[in-house]
Amino acid sequence: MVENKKTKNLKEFSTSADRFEGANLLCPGCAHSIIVREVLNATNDDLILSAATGCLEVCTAVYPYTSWDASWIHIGFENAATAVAGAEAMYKALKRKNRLLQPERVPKFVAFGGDGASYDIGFQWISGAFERGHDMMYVVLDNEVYANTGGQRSSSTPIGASATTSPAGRVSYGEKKEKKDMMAIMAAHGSPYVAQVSPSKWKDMVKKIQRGLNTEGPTFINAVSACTTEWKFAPEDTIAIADLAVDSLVFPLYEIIDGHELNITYRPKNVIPVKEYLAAQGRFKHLFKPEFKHILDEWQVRVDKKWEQLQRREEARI
Amino acid sequence: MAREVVSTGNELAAKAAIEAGARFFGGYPITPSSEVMHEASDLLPEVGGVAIQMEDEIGGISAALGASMSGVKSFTATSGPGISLKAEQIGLGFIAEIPLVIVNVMRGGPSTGLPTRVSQADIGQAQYPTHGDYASITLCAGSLTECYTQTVRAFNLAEKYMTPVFILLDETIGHMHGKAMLPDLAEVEASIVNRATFTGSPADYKPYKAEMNKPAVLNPMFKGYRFHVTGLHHGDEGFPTEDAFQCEYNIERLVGKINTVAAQNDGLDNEPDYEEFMLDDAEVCLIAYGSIGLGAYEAVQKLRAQGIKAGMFRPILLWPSPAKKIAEIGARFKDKIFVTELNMGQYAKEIERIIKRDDFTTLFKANGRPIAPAEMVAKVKEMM
Repeated sequence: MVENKKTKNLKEFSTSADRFEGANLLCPGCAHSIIVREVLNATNDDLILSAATGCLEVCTAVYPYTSWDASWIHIGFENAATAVAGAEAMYKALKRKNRLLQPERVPKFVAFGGDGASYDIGFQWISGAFERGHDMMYVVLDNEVYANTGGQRSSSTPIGASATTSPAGRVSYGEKKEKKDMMAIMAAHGSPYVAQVSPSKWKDMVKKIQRGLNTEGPTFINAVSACTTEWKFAPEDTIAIADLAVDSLVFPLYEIIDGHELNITYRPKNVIPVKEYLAAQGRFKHLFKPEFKHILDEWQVRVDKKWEQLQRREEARI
Repeated sequence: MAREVVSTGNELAAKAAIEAGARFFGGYPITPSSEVMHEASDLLPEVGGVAIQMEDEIGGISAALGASMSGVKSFTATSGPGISLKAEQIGLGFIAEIPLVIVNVMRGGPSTGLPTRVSQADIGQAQYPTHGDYASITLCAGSLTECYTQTVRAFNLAEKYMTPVFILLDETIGHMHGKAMLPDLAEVEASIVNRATFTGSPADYKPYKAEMNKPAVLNPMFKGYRFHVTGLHHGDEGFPTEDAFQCEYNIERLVGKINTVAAQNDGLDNEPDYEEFMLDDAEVCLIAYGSIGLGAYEAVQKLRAQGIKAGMFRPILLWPSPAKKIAEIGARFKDKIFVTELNMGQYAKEIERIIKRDDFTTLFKANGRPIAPAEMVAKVKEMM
C-alpha cells in the first residue's frame, strides 16, 4: 500500500522537484524549501497539506503562482494541525461510509508550521490533534525566530540569541530563556514517532520523514531550518551551518518511538565545540565579548548535559 | 517646549505610552504593528518597566490585563487578526472595568487578509470587538503627532473611564517615517489622569458599587483591598450574581458611563474630538480620518485651487462618535458631503445613522491601497 519514493543518491536528492517547486519567494539560502521538498518527495501517495501563516506560506503561494503540486490549505497562524486533523477526520468518515470516490488512493496528511506557529501560538492545537490521535504528520520548520514578522524571539529561540524583542545591547545578552524541548513534549503525548532532522544529513532526514509518514497516528518532525536573514550568515552557508548545528550537538539527531524508545541516529565523528557553531552566526556575535564568556561556557555545559541525557536514555531502552 | 522628532507612527505610539506612564507591555508579533513591541522592549526596561512577548495574542492581552489590575498602566499592540484573537479578553476588560490601551495598526482583512497593506476596515470591530453589550472608546490617529498625542489621551481615557480603549493607527501611518512635533514632556506629564482609588477602610471597600454612569473604583492588587474579579455579572464586591436588577444595572452603567456621558458632556474629555480644515466658508465637506485624512488635506487644497470651496471634517474620537458635530454638518452641507474611507463604508453608516440620510457621496476602497487626493478631487467634482 505504502509506496516510498526511493532517494538513491545526492543527485536525485538535489534535482527531484516534482511536488514542491524551487521557484518561490523564500530568501536565497532558506532551508525551508529544502526540507519541504524532501517531505513531499518522500512518498508517491497523495498528499493533503496545510501550512500555518509564516515564511513558508507567504513565500510559496503568491497569486497567481504556487510551489505546491498537492492539495494545500493555508489557515490561521495557530491552526495548521487543526486543519489537517479536520480533513483527516472527514476522510475517515467518508471511508467508513464507503463514499470515497477513489478508495484505492490513500492520502497522507501533513501540517507544516514554523517554530512560532508550533512552539507558541499553535501549541495548544498541536497538542489537541496529537491527543485525539489523528493519522497525520506535523513538521516544524524550526528557525528559532519569527522570521516572517521581523525577527522576534519565540520559545524556540536559544539563550543568547539577539532578536528584535530580546535585543542584545548594553544591558542584555539577548534571549534569556532556554529553547523549549518540543521533542520531549511531543514524545510525552505518546506519539508513535517523534524525530529531529537536519537538511544537512539528508539521508537521515528522508528516512525519518518516510517513517513518520508511514506510521499510523500523529507523528512529529522537528527540522532545523537555518535562517540566513535572522541568524545572520551568508546565504550559501545554509547547509554548512546546519552541519555545525548537528556536529556541535546543539541540534542532535534522534528519534523517539512510542513515546519512550529513544534512538540517536547520528553520532558526529568529530564533535566540534559549541562556540564554533555560535561564532558562525551574527545573532550570537555579542556573546564573544569578554563579559559574556560565562554564557558561552554555560552553552557548552548545557549541550554536553543534554547529549549525556540522550545517550543514557538510549542505553536504558525504556 | 515642543519637541521635534523624526520617527515612525508605531514608535511614537510606544514612546507616548511610556511617557503617559505605561510600565507594562504584553504582546505578540504581528505585521504591521510589531514595531510598537520592538520599541516597547527597548524603552520599557530603561524606565523599570516590563515588555513581554507572550506565546500568542490572547496571552499578550491577558498579561496586560493582569498587570493593569495591579495598578500599572498597561498596553498591548496588534493588528486586526490579533484583535479577533483578543476579543474574549477585551470583553473581560469591559465587564471587569480594567483600564487598558489597545493599539491596533490596521491592515487588510478579514482573516489574514493583506498583512502588509493599509486598511481602515477595523472601525466596526473597534466599536463592537466582542460579544455582549458595552460601549467602546476608540481614537484614530491622523498624523505622526497624533500617534503620540492620541495614545497619551487613550491612557487618560482608560484610567478615567476604567475600560479598554482603542487607539487606531493604520499601516500607512504606523510605518510612516517623518518629522513630528510632540508636546513638551512637562505638559504631557501635567495632563496625566490616574485611576481613582478608594482610601477608606478595606472592610467598606465595594469596587463595583458605582452610581449609574460612573465607573468602578478598582484599587491596585497587593494593597490590602480584597475584591473579586470575574467575567461573570457581578455585584458590588465583584462576586458573581444572576440578580435581574443587578445585571440590568450593570449593563446600563457600562454603556452609560461612556455613551451617555459623552452625549451629555459633548465628548469624554476636553481634547478635540475632531478637526475642521477650511470648513468655515466651505460649500462641500469631505469626511475622512486616519491616514486618508492626510490625502484629504491635499484634495481640499486642490479643489480650492480649482474654484471649489471644499473643507474637511476629520473625526479623531471615532467611538462614541462626535454625533452633535456630525449632525450639524449634515444639516449645513445637505447632500454636499463626501465620505471617503479605506473600507466598504463602516463609518459612513454611522454618519447615515446620525444625519438620517444617505444622499451623500462616498468613495470607498478595500484593496490595500490608499486613496489618492486626485481620486477624491475627481469624485467631488462629479458631485458639484
